[in-house]
Amino acid sequence: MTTHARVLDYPESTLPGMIPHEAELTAGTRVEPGHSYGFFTDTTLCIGCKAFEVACKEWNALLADDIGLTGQSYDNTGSLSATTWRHVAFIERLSNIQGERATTLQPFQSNWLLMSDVCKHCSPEPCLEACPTGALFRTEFDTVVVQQDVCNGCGYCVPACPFGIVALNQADGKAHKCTLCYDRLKGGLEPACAKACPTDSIQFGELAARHECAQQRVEALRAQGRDDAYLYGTPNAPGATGGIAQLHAFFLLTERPEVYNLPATPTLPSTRLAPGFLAGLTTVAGLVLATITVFAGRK
Amino acid sequence: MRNARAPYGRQRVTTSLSTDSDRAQPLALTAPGDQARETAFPQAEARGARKLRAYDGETYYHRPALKPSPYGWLIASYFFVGGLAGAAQLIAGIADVCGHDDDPPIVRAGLYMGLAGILLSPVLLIADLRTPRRWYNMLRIFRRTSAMSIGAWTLTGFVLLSGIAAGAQALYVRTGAVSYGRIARYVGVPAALAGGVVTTYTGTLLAATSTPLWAAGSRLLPALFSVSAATTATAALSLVTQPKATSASAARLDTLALMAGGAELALATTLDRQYQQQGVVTPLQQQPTATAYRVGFYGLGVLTPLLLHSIHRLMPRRSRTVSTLASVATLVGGYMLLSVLISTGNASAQRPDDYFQFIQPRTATQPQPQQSPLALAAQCQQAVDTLKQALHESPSCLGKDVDTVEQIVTRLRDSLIQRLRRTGSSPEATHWQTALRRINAALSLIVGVEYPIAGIQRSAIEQASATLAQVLTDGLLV
Repeated sequence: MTTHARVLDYPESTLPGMIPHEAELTAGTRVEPGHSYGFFTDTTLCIGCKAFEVACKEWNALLADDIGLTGQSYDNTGSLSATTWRHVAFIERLSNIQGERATTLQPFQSNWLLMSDVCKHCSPEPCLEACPTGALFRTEFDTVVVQQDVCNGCGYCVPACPFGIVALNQADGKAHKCTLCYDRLKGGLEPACAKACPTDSIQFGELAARHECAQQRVEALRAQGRDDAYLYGTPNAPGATGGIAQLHAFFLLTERPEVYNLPATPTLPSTRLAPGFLAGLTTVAGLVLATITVFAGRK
Repeated sequence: MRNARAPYGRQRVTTSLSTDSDRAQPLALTAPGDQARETAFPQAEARGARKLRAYDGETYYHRPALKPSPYGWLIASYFFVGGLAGAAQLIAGIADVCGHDDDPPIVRAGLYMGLAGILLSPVLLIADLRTPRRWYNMLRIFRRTSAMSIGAWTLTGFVLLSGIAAGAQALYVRTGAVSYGRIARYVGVPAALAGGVVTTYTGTLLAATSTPLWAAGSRLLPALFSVSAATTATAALSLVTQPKATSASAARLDTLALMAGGAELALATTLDRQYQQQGVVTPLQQQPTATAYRVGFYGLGVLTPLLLHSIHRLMPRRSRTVSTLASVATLVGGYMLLSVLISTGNASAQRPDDYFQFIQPRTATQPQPQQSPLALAAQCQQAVDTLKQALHESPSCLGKDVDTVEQIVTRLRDSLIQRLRRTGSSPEATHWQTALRRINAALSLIVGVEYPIAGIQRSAIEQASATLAQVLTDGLLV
C-alpha cells in the first residue's frame, strides 16, 4: 500500500487532536455513511500475534475472559464471546499425513494455519432477523450492531447465528458482538483490530474494493503455486450460502472451512420459518377437524 | 521419516477423523475419486475458484462452532403452559360452538385454563429475559422474519382475547346477564384461533435457529409441539372436569386424547427417523437424556396413555382411576418432551461434528464405500505384528515402525468412527464402541512411546500390542 500524501501533514509523534478522516491515512479509504464497509481477513498473512485481540479489548473496554491455558496450541482465547470480539485460531500443519516434516516454506510465512475470526456482519443478517426488539440494526456503514439500550437479553440471536458469534453477557444481561467499531467509523477512524494488525492480514475498507483486492491476492498466491487459496464469504462462494448473500467480514482460506471452525454452507435460519408455520398451522387445522368430529352434536 | 517427536507435529493423529483417500495430498482442495462428494460453487468456479474437497469430519479441536441457546426450564415450562392453555382454549371454543348439551363443563374449564395460562406465561417469559425490566421492548416492533416477534404478538393477542373471554364468562356466571355470555362466546372464537397459533409457533421458534437438532426438524417440530399441546390440554381438561362431566362428555375427551396421542406417536417416531438420517441424533442417545426421552416421553407420555385409553374403551363402565392415570402420565410426558428437546438442542449446538455434517449439501453425505470388517481386522492384525516386530529392534528402526503403526491405528479408528456415525444404534454398535475405546487407548500408548525424554517406553509398546490383540481375540471388529 502506498503512503497517502496527507501523511506528510502530520510529522509530529504527538498530535494536537484527531486527524480528520484518519482512515484515509491508515486504511486508504474515507469512512462515509451510505457506503458498505467490511473486513477482508487474509489468513495467509496472519502471524497469530493477537495484537488485534488486545486492540479490540482496549478500545471497546472489554473484560478479560478466562486467563487459563487450553492446551490447544497457542489458542488460549478459545472462542469468540460476549467480551471477546476477535479471536485467532491456531491450526498446526507441521507434517503431512505420511509424517514428513515440511522442508520447504509455503509461499506465505509458515506451515501454520492462522485465522483471525470475527463477526461476519452477514447480509442478510440472521441475528437481526431473529431479534424481536429491534436492538440489532444495520448501520449507515452497512454493518450490524446491537443497541445496548434496547436489548432485553431474550437471547434469540444466540442460537440464530450460524457462526456462533453473538453471546449473552450474564453480567449485564445483554447480547454482545463485534460492532465493526461503529463509534470509530463515526469518527472517521478504521476499526481498532485492522489498525493494530502489523501484517495487514486484517484489511478494512469498502467492500467492493476489498473484494477486488482479495481476488488479486488469490490470483497472486495461485501464481506462486498455492492453488488451494480461495475466498470464503464473497458472493456465491463457501460461507455465503443458504440465503446468506455475502459476509461483510470475509476470509482468504487455504483449507476446508471446517478446519478453521467455519461452516462451509451456513444457512439463513429464517428460511425455515415459512415451512415451519405451514406445517404447524396445517397440524392445528387437523386438530380442529378432529375435535369437531369428536364433539359435533345437537345442542 | 516423520520428525514426529515434536509434539505439535501430532495434529493429524490426535484431532483429525479422516479417510485415507482424502489425505493423499493433505493440502489439496480436491481429492481424486471424490467427484460426487465435492461441494460445488458454480459461480465461484467460473471465476477460477477450485471445488472444495469433501468434508471428512474435521473440527477445530472439537470446539463448538455454535453457541447454545440460553433456554432452560423456564422456557420449557412456558412452552408447556402456553401450549396447554392455547389448546385448551381451542378445544373449549370448538366444544362451545358445536358441542353437545353436556359439554359446558369442558367449555368453562377450557376458558379458565386459558386464563391461568395467560397469567402464568408472561411471568415465565419475562423471568427468562436477562434484562426483565425491558420486557416491553418485545412490543417495540413487529418483525416477520423473527418467530419470537411473531410469537410475542400472538401471545399478546391471545392474552387479551382470552382474558376478555374468561372475564365475560365469569361475569355471565355471576350476574346471569345474557350479553356477557354472548361476549364470552364471540371473543372465544378469535381467542381459540390465537390459542391454536400459540401451540405451534414455539416449534417454529426452535426450528428457525442454527441449532442442528432443531433445524433438522423444521417441519416436524411445529407439528409435534401442537399435537403435544393438544394431548396435554385434553389430559388437563379431563382431570379438571372429572367430577362434573357426564360420562358421555368425558368419553369424548378420551376419544380426542386417543386420536391426538396416536398422531403424537407417529410424528415423534418420524422426527426420530429424520434425526437419524440427518446425523444429529447423538445428543438424544446420551444418558440421562435418553432415559428421560424414551421412558419419560415415549413410555409415560405416549404409550401409557394410549394403552390406558384403549383398555378404557373396552371396559364395560367408565373408570375414574384409569382416566386420571392416563391424564397424569400425559402431562408428565408432555413436559418431558419439551424439556428434553430444549436441553438436547443446546447440547447439539455444542457438537461441531453434528453441525458441520448436518449442513453439508445432501450430495456431500452420500454413503461411502464401506470397508469390510475383514479389512479392519486385517489392519488391526498388521498393527499388532508391526508392534511385536518393533520390540526387537534398535531405537531408530523402532521409531519408523511405531510411526507406521500410528498411521494404521489412526486409519482403523477413523473407519470405525465413520461406521458408527453411519449406523447409529445397530446391535453391533456396542461392540464397535468397545473396540473404539480400546483402540483409542492403544493409540494414546503408541503416541506416548517416544515422548518422554527418558527414552523409549517399551512397556507402552507391549501394552498397546496386547490391547489391540485383545480387540482381535474378542472379535469386536466383526
